[in-house]
Amino acid sequence: MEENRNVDESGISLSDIFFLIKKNIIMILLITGLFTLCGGVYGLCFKSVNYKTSSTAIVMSESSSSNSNYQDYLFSNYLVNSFKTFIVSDPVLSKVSEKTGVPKANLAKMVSVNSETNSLILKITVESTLGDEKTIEIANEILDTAIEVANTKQEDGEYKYTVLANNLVDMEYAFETSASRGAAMVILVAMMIGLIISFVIIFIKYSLDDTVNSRDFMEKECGITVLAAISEIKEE
Amino acid sequence: MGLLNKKKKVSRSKSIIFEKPGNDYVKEAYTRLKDNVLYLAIDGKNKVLQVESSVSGEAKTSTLANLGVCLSLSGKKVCLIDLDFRKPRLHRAFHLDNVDGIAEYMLDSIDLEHLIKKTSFENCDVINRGSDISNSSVVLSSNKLQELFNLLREKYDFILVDCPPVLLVSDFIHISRLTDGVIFVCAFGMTKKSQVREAIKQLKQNNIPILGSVYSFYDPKKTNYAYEYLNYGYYGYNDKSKR
Repeated sequence: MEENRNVDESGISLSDIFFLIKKNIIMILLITGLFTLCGGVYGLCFKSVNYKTSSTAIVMSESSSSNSNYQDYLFSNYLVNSFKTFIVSDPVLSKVSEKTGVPKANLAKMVSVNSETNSLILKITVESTLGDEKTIEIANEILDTAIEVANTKQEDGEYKYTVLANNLVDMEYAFETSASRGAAMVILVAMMIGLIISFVIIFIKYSLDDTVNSRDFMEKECGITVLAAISEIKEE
Repeated sequence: MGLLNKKKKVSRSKSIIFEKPGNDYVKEAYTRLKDNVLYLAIDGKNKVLQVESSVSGEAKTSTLANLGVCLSLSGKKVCLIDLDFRKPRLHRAFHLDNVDGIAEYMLDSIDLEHLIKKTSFENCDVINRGSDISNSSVVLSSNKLQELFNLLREKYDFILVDCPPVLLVSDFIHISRLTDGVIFVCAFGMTKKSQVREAIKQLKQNNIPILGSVYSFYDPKKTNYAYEYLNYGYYGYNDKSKR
């Protein structure tokens, strides 16, 4: 029955995995180190600097008065959420694109609008690789344009966006940026890729290695007792 | 000093390790092999052993030679016969010339006394091939060779036969009728598993008993047997730590 054993059923144990890692530790370190080095060089020298800045606006609604009630609270939350969507909507971004010369599609990727829970303050954050001055210009233009578009009047003199009109006020304009290359993330990703590739190489090496490399092979797979294991003779 | 003292690998033809000091762990391994062979030969069985391997280069001849010497050192009378007619190597291990061998004996050019060569090890004799043999299967299946083996069985405690690799030629089939069983040598980390499986399959298909196997070129550092690696150098004839 042992002769008919399906050899393919013999798997690899956890100790075998650790042994393979230990046996190939130099290769793992070399490949991982190489990828980390490449990642570091790219992240620190070649990757574009990412500039980040933000401008803030405040949503002015009747809920800001001292006699606010629950409905006012709901309305102000509704306004905040509406402005979040409005600021990055097409009418606003189109105008900002015209003024700044940055394509609308790029603007959409650069801009994000956030507010804290139960807060009427909207933070307009812009992240770009166009330089610190341009990034500040975009952040401030979005704020101004959002207010301008929200207060747009139609031909008959009525506000186009009645609900939004006169409810958004600038609070703070962007004046400085924070810059980073994001090198740490690049290095980390490069290190992970290096590790994965080295393990793939080990796995392929192990799978393709058809030589007798386990003491159990003769006894377990061939059913023949091992009488001795003799090392190569060395001369001093 | 560590660098100056670096060990280098020895050519297998000069590989009777019992000729000089050192390599204690290898000697210990051969001692273990010898003990196992002695156990297999209890009750007088399994005294004529055929040493085989899948392919060439697996240290079959040096394993056989060292086993023979180890058996002789334990007091057994051993005869080593080289039936690898295509690549005879056994005579080199004992620094003998490949003359007056089986080829001459089969032609009646020499008698048994001249056929059996003494070595530097007492109780260890060698029979070499001699001149080229063109038709090995005829010689191996001859009655004269059978009679030679019958004579040697009476004279010696063990007869170890060096054979050509199983996967290269079919001589092993003819040799098996002269022997009691096979000791299969496998080069660790070198021979392919598929080759070993095929060789063993061929031996079994011809109903040749395989008494056991030996790993040559074994390196415990290449295995997952940590306890073996840690304790490998512990036992030795010159072990300074007293047990």
